[in-house]
Amino acid sequence: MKRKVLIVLLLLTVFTTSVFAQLESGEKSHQYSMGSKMFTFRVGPILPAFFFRPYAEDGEKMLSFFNTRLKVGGYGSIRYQGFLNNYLALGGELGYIFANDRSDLFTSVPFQAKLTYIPLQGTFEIPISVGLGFAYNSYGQASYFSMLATAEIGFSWFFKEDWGLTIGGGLQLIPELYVKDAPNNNWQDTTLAGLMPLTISVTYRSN
Amino acid sequence: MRTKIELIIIIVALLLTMSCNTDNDGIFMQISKSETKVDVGSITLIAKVNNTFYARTREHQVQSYNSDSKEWKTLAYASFATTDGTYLYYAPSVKEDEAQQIYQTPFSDFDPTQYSSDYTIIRMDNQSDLMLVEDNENFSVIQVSDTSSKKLKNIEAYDNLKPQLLTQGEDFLVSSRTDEDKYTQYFDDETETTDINAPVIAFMKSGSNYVFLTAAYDIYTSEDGTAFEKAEASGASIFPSGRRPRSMPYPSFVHHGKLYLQNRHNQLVTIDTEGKIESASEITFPIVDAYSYLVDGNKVFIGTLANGIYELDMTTNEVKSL
Repeated sequence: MKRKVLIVLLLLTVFTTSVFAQLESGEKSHQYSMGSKMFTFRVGPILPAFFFRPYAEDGEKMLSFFNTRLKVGGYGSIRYQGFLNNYLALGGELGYIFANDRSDLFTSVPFQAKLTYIPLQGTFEIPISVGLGFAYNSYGQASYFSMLATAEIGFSWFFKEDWGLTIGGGLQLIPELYVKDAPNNNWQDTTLAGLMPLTISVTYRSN
Repeated sequence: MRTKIELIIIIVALLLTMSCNTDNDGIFMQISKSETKVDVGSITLIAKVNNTFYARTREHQVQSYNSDSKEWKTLAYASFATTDGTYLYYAPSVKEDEAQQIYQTPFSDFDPTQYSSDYTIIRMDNQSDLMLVEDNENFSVIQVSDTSSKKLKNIEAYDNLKPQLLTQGEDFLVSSRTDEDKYTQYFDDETETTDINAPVIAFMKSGSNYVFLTAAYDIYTSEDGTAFEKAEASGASIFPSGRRPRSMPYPSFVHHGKLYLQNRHNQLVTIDTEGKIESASEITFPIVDAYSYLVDGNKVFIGTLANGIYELDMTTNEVKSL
């Protein structure tokens, strides 16, 4: 056990030393420029963060983590982005989410426009992304086409000039909105769902 | 200008997503109320003896469930089962055109004995000791515990279509398509009517009043069982669309002169003797599909499609999983 902790500490030290060395060396020659491209494949678990239900009874408006009755699921996606300048990349991401609740399978196909800001560049990078798009959600016999908003942060290590690994996490917001005068009288089902993907990514970049 | 365009795009996208989904039940609301599935599948409740339930399940089995030990036990394979309160009767499946063998066993000691044969059983009501059998090209309703007692005979059916036997407590009716565009309702007092020209899927008799729900979710009422009137209210927007087969009986129970049924959102609604539909919103029903009900005084036991057995206390309106 002690040995494992020691190895993790050593790796962390190497990483942080390298990052600070990268910062101190003042690498002003940017890794990316307009027209640079980045292709990312991501997989990992997704956790239920919260369900906010504004019209539910008091005490049931906010359900967090496993009170949502959703279990840990999986998330996978492909992302393609082109750089607008030295720091900002814009592109699209298509994903797939699956998670079981107590009885059925919830799935979602999110597709979104994604803007990524990379303040630290080089061998080690810190990508910060926001996304806006839509998601096609299914559960049992029901389906819902919703909007989608995402925010993510990661830490990347480019072990080759073109290839890198990233660990990241974030929040995906899926609003399920119903209006009060709908014929189905289901406005009380209005929910803002927050899901947290924790992913490992493989990235290919080219200038 | 650019900000305005962006705002319009966002509003249009929001409206688009909302208008695409008006018929939905809330997905995340359903998830937050989801219940654990029970692997016996759909549960047709037959009887409750102390803390043991007897039911026919999806796997064509007669099973018992002890609500203390939470254990299911397979007792026999059966396509049909019923009870007279003392004995359990069941009939295993047979090949087409073969007569069915009925077995009888006491609940206390599961020891089946061959009871009766030579019936082509079409339906056997799970709680009312009745079965619908094919009888010389027509159909009859026979009391299972006393097969010499024909409760109803000469029930017609068109073009090999099978009639439906519906029960509610001690009352029953048979709904049968008797011509290309004609349905006949046969009552337990040996009267019949063609005024309700549709398959009846649920009914209630309260005093001299009758209420009928048809497969099209139209509601008919009668004050005396002879004159039938279509109610103004319709359940078309309340009950689930696309049920197959549409003439299949709709799970229901009667309490204090009201017919209780589950709506398309899994909540209970009532239909009174005037045909008025109201939400039973005082009862917070779990997101489970009710498949059968067993009424025991003020307690209603609910056999579900996939989530085991629930108990509804009609005095406190509390629902709990057993």
